[in-house]
Amino acid sequence: MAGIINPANIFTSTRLIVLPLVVYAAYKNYHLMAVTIIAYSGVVDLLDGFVARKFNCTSRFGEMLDAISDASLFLVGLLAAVAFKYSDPVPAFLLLGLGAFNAAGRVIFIKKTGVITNFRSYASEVLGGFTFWVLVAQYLDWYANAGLWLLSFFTFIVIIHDYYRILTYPVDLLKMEEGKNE
Amino acid sequence: MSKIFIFQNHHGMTSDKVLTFSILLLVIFCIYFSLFAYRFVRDIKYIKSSEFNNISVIKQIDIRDRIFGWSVGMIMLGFVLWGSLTRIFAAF
Repeated sequence: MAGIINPANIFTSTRLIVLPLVVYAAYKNYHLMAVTIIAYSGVVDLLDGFVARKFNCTSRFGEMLDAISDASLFLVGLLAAVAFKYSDPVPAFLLLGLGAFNAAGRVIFIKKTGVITNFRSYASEVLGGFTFWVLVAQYLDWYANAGLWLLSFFTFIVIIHDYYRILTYPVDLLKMEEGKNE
Repeated sequence: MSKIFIFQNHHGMTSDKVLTFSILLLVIFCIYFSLFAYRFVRDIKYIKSSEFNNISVIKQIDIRDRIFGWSVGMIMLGFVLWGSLTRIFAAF
């Protein structure tokens, strides 16, 4: 328990605590409040790794909490945008479905390799950055639906690339490298 | 068909905030496009060098994956540039 409650995880978990405020802001049509909370979440996402290293409390749980916070922000932010008619449901649900399919690829990779090494896809990381801005664009009325369609298209391209990589990855060589590092 | 593929919604955001966001995105475009272009050229040069054949297959895959990532980023930033400029020009 002491390993779970540390400054970095408390810092990261504030991202989950503020999520209901995004829904409230969307419901009340407070665009700037929603954007501010999303921006706060983005800044915490950038800084939490630094805080973890500074207080020497990096952990697998912290990494997981960070990933859960990212997914929750996008899920709640986008569902609120759809529910309160900021965005259209078709591209929003298409993007959420593609995101889930992309996440399933990581699970396949872990099962295939047998080592808990996250499959690092630079294209997915780039898409993650764009996802944040597309979410902000929903609340700022800035090409909201076009952004969702475009992000869905590029997510589809990246999924094809990543699944090809995951299915053809030289697992034996990876395990040999993991062995050397240990 | 147009009811399924709706590309624009308007929910009352004022144009000054949209303009401010467009200018912010234009600044971000300049920073990130330079960054991605630099990394793309750096990794392409590395792939073409003789050193690339001597590194492990896992690292070779990693470098190729990077190049794909930077390419996707640059193409997407093209749309960001187009969106920002059209919004900025529409404001004046």
